This record gives sequence, C-alpha cells and structure tokens, in this order.
Amino acid sequence: MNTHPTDLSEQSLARILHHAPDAICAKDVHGRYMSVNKAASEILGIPSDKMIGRTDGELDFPDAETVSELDRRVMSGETVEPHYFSFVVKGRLKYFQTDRACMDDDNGAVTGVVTVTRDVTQDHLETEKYRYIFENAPIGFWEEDFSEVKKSLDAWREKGVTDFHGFFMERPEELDRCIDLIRVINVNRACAEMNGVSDRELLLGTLERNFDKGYERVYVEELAALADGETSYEAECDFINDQRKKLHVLLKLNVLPGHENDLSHVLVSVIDLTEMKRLSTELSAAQMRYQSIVEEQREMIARIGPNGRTSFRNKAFERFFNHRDPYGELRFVALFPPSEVQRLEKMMTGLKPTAFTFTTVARNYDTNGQLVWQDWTVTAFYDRSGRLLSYQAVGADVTDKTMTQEALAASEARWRTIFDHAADLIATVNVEGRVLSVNDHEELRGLRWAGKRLEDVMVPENAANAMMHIHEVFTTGRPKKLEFRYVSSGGEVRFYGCNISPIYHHERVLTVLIIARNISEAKVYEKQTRAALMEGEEQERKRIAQELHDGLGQLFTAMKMNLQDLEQHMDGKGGQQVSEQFKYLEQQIGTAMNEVRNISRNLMPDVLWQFGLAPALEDLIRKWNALEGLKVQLQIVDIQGRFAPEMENTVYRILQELITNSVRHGKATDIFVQLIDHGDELLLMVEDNGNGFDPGTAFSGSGLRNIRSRAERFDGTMTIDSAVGADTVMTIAIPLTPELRA
Amino acid sequence: MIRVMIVDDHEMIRNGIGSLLRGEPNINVVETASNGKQAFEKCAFREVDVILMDMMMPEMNGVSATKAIKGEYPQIKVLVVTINDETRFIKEALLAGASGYLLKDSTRNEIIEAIEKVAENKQYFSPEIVDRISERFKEGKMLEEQSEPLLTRKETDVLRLIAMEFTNQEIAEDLNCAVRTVDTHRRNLIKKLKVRNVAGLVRYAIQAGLVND
Repeated sequence: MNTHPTDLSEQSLARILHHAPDAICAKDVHGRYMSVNKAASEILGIPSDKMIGRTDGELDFPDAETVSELDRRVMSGETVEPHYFSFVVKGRLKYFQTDRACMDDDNGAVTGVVTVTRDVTQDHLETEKYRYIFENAPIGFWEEDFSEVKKSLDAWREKGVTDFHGFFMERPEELDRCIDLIRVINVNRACAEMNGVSDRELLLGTLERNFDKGYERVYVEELAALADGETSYEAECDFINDQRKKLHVLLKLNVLPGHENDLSHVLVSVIDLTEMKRLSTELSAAQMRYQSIVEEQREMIARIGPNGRTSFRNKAFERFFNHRDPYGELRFVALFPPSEVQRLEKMMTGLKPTAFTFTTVARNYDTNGQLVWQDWTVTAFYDRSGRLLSYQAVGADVTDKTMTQEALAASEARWRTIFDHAADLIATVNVEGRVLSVNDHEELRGLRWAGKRLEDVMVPENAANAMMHIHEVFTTGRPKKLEFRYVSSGGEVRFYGCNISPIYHHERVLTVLIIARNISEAKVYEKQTRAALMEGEEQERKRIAQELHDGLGQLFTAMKMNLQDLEQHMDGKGGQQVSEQFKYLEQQIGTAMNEVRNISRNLMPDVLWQFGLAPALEDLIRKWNALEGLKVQLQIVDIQGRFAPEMENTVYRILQELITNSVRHGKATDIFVQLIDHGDELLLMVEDNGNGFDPGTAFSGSGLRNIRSRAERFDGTMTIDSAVGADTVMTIAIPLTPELRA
Repeated sequence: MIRVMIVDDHEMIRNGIGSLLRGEPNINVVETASNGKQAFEKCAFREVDVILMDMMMPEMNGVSATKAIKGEYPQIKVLVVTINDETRFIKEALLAGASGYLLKDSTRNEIIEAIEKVAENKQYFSPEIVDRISERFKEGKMLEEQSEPLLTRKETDVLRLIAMEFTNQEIAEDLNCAVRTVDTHRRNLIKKLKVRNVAGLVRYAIQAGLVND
C-alpha cells in the first residue's frame, strides 16, 4: 500500500477505520487481538477491551481453528481465499466474509494479521433463495458455463466475423467444437427427472446433444444470440432424454446477472411441452372426429311439426330432398311419390301416445329420377296431456337390399328350381359379404348361412380369401373363375371350383352369384393318377434297365467269354487272319457292352439302388463336375441308412432336374447342393449363381411343375427363391414318415 | 492248385467263366453260387481259396456277401468280377475286404493272372480300374473326406446377420429372399454346425470371425 501521510493523517485514518461498517481487527503473530474497531465489537457482541490480548480460541469464536490456520498461512506469505462463516448476532443468523492480509514492520518482519469481516447476509440469502428456487423448480434447469465459448466467439469477432448465424451454418465443425466447450456446472432435480437419471453427476461436464434432428438449428441460434450480446434466447424443439423418449420442450437460456461479460453462468431451462402438446392434439382430433360424424351422417333426419312440415333437417336429408323442397315449405309426406303419400299419411295420423312409432320401407326417386328404396322410422312426441308436439323421422337408403330381394323375387320361379336342385352350391353375396340367399346344398345343410356374413360362418382364413375374390368381382364387374382352397374347422382341406359372377341392376353390381363345386375328390384322384403315372414310368425305366443289364449285358459278356474260349481252343490254328478276326469281334462286343451299360445306367443308376441316395448323389455331382467351367459342391448331413426306394429315386431325379435347370437355363457356374436329414423331414437345397428367374412366370415351365409333382407324391413341398438377375435357392422338403425310412 | 468258387446270378456267365478256366492246370472251379447269400452258405462246407464275386445280384449283393465271408472266413480271397466300373463300387468292394477288382470284359489271361495274384495274397485290378482310381487321386480331395462343414455363400450371410441380432424378417429383406428360406438356412446351420440353438450359431459366427464382437 502506498499512502501519503500528508494526504491522510494517522488520526483521521484511525477514525475512518474505527467507524467503518466492516469489522476490522489486527492480531499479533500469536493470534492475540491487538486492536478492533467499533463494528467488530458490535458484530461479535463483545466490548473491545475484553477482546484485546486474547485469541479467537480463548474468546470461543466460531471456526476458531480454521481462522488461526488461515492467519498462520497468511503470515507465512500465502494468499488465501475469503473465509465465510455464520454467526448469531442479536438473535439472528448472519453470514460473514472475512478477508485477511499480513502486517509487517519497516524491516519486513511479520508482525501480525489484519482481518476485514463484512456482513454478507443479504447476498447470502439471495444466493440461497436462488439455489432453493433452482433446485425445487418444476422446470428442468441447467447451469452452464459458456466462458470458453465466449472466448472463441470473441476471437472470431476480432477476426471480423459479424454474422455468427451464417458463420455457424457454414462451419458445422466449429459449431460442434463450440458445443463441446459448454460446461454443465449444475442441474436441478426436475432436470434429472426429465433426463431419467438418478445420479446428477452424469449430467455434468460436456453437454449431451439431446435434441432431436435439427438440434443444430437451436445451437446455431443460441450461440449467434450470445455472440450478438443477447442475454436471453428461447426456442421450441424436440428433446430426446436418456431413456430415448422424445419430448417436445421449450428451451430458454438466460445469462445470470453479473456474468454478462464472461458468460460463466448461464441458466438454461427446459419446459416439457409434450403433455400439453399431446392434450391439444387430442382435443383437436376429437373435435374433428365429432365434426366428421355430424357431417358424414348417412341417415336422413328431420323434425316435423304438428302441421306436418319439417322444422329441422340434417345434411343428408337436405342432400336428398332439397331439390324438391328447398325452403321446407312442403309437408313431409308430400316429399314422396303420389303412390306412397296416402299410405304414409295414414300411418302418421295413426300414431298415438300408446303406439308412437312406425317403420316402413318407402319408394322414392333421387335427384336423377332413379328409383330408390328408403327405410323410414317415424316417432311422435307428446306432452303430458297427450297433445302432439312433433315427429322425428329417420330415413336410410336400402335400395341395394330391396333391389336384390326384388330381383330375386321377380325371377323366383325360374330360379328356385335350378337353385334348390343344383348339385353345386349356389349363393348370392352382397358387397359386405352377407349371404343373401343360398340353396339347400348338402354340405351346408343345417349351417343356416342365409342372412349371415361370410366372416361369421367361415374360419377367418377362408373368409378373407373369399372376400378378396368377391371384392374383385364387385370392382371389376367381370366374372371370375378360381380354385378355392377351403380349410374346414377340423383342419381338413377341401378344394372348390368356383365361378363368381356379378349380378347387375341398372349398371351397378348389386350382388355376386357364387357357384361352387367340391372338386377335392377330383384333386385327390388327379394326384393319385399322377403318382401312378410317375411310378409306372419309374418302374418301366427300372424294368428296361434291368432287362438290358441282365439280358443283353450278360449275353454280350458270355459271348465274349465264349469267343475267348473258342480262340483258346483254336490255339493259333486259323493263322494270322483268323486271330485278327477274333480280336476285332471281341472289340466290337466290348463296344456293344459299354453301350448297353451306359443306356441302362442312365435309365436307372446302379449306385442308387445298390448303395442309396448319398453315394448316388455323390456320383451324380462328380459327373456334373467333369463339365468345363462348372463347379458343383455337395454337402450331405446326417444321412444314414436307406430310404424307401421310390423316394430315393424321386430325390435323385429331382436333383438331376434341378441341376440341369441351373446349368441349362440359369447358366450357373457355381452350384451348391445340400441333402440334410432333419429327423422330421428330408431337405434338398440347391443354391446357384445363375441368372435367376421370376418364379411367378417360370412356374408354368413343365420342368418345375414336374419337380413339384414329384415332391408332392411324398407330401413334399418345393420353395423357390429367385428373381431375374439374382441367385436362386430351391428347397425341397419331404416329411420323413417311418415308412419312408428303410 | 487254387480252389475257386464262381458267384453270379447268370448261368451264362458262370458257365462262360467256368469254360475259360477249364484248361488251366493250376485252377480248379470247385463250386458255383447264384447269389451272395448262397455263396456265404456254401463256404461253410466247401473249402475254397478264391471267390469270383459278381456285384449286382438278388438276395444279397456282392458287397454284402464279401463283407460276410471275410468276416467269417478271412483266409478266403474275394475277387470281384463285374461289369460295373464306377468308383463307388470299387470303393465299396475294397472296404468290404475284396482283394481285387476285375471287369467282366477282361481277357482270359487277365482273369487267370488275377486269380493267381490274389491267391498269393496280393492284389489285382483291371488296368481300367487302376486308371479309374488314379483319376480319383488326381482329382484331389475326395468328397467324402470333408471334415469342416461347408457353408454356402447365403448361409454365411445368414449366419453373420443372425449374430448381428437380425430377425428372420430383417435377414430376408437384407438378402432379398423369402422368410421361409431364411428359416430353412437357420435350421440347416444349426444342424450342420452341430449346435443346439441360435446362441450356438452366434458363438460359431464370432469364432469364425464373421462378426466383430
């Protein structure tokens, strides 16, 4: 300190010190009070003469040990932080802050400590209050330190950046770096809850980028605002909490007062708007729903006064009747054609408090003059004395229903005979899938389908399938022929050949007529026939192969041996020419034998019926591998023992066909074949790298159909996985029953 | 003197071979049989040194008969005489214990040489058979010698995706194939890799380095 004694006399200085609002004390090197001012003795509540010469410990002051430690450190030349403590003064808790400095004499020797203690109760309470609010607010609060960000912002500003918004948009990496510089110092309870974490420490440090897509926008705006010297910013955005739940929030940012220059304390609040938003969305949805119900009401509703005129008409009513009575001047019954007026009039006047309602179907004409049928329910309202107050009329268009009934009734006689005596199942079904009429077919006897909807009388799978076809006919208006696969509730599969035809009335498809015939037996018969044919073919192959082998083959062998025998007996007696003739004959027989063997082997591979499927497939694959540019791999898994010969043969033929297809049509160069015994089924899988094909179109090819038929003979299935330009995977799965295992 | 039994289901062949051997001083055809079962039964009461055995016969084929005879009478030599030159048959015959393999269109001298060779405890193969066997060796690895299961390209893909916790549906979409095919691949993998469940597949995939764990 550099004081000028001339400016300020020692005495006046002492006076100032004595009357200063802060408590000022001087202690010697042993911690004994040497002098104290007025404020000190007031605050501590001890007369100054009682303090002089005594230490904090002796005076029983709060934090005496800490205080003497701090004094000691100051005297040894250290700089110490201010010391905060609380103390009850005149019955009230007060908070104090003490700063201290070392005293020395002219020689530089330490003589003691000067302490200046200030009452900071007001400040402290402010801080406490802030802390309390911060902690307990129902809003998520972050206290963040932007001071490093501020330094960067200042540095850029010095380099000439003025438009920070544009700057951050163009340089996302700088934005990212800036976000990383933000430090979370503190978070409150609501914030922890919103983030779904219990340990708040997890939220401190670097900021999580919890905002949803477009969070950059929020950060860019926020940082640009701070760079422009703004002290607050707010925006609505989506926020993803640690539980990955998406919240819609209002983000608010406020620089705390006193930290405007370094941005070291910025309060960020996030208010969860999700619930609010959800409620408002729901509310508007509900409103729209309600409105649409009112708007879309199909029934015609009117209120009719005792004079018979309509007093209220809904939209549907107006749509139908406005062209006839735009101003509601006519009586209700006058809105119907003359042939109906009298009848309706009579029914309405016939209403009384004991019989106050009736329902009737009435004819009418629509705006195009088209005949329609309407179902009307009229209800009369009376007061207590029985006086008529008003009527309510509710009408619905029942044209479709009535038309069908009419159409049916009109041709009833013609119909019924065919209908009831047909061997086929005949039914009419409307667009909803309701069975309007059905004949007395033996398969449906007792099931009472008439009047019910298909979905009520069929298992869902069948109903959905049937409705798909029915809708198609309603939409296209063209008849359709199909084979319907019906699964009975007992799981039995039946096949029906079906014709679905549209029945028109005035160019509209009113109903469809379905004629169905059970073709299950025919299907089974077809399958058996096909199996028998295949079986026959195989048997025939086998027979011919055997015949060739046993007959011709052995005959040739014997001929060759006999020839050799003969040559032996001749013993060179025939001379050179005869001996050459022998050689030539033997050669020819050898060629013939080979030929026979090849034919027989192609018809029925020896290996297959001698050793079974696995060795036969290995041989088959080996032969294919002999082709240039083709690699066929085979993996046989868990095949032990033999299977029924017919099945082995089937699998062998299927594989032959599959590989032929892959090579010939698919131009495959790499084929992988697997034969796996899964216990419950035998699986043959062929994968190739060929051109692929569209299974939808290629299936008509006789090759694939043939394979499928072969597999079906053993209740097997074929799955094709291919597309033009893609690899092909063909899977044949044959259920392994005990009979199929040899 | 070598005692020979001829086993063939065709009388013509039995007679043919019989007459070829008739003049041979060293060889004596002591018995014939028309199938494997008969041959085996006749060994019980007829002492023979060499059996000329056909392959494809009713009742009991040549391979089964060879197995049975070598099991009961190991000193008897079996020489397969067949029209079948496929490696599969050669292999099966040798595994059953045959000492030689002769094609039926062999010359008389070859037949005699073969009988003498096997009687001396040596082996004999028709030249065509020797060719066939060496061809197979040149082909390198025999198919049946695979030890590691071979995985197809698709299977490797499926395995990798399973280990990455994809569902069948997701795998099907990723590999552009039917869910059913994916399921078949999955079943096959479990079977081929001899694991019990998907966890096993995942472990295999990681060990095989298909995925980074």
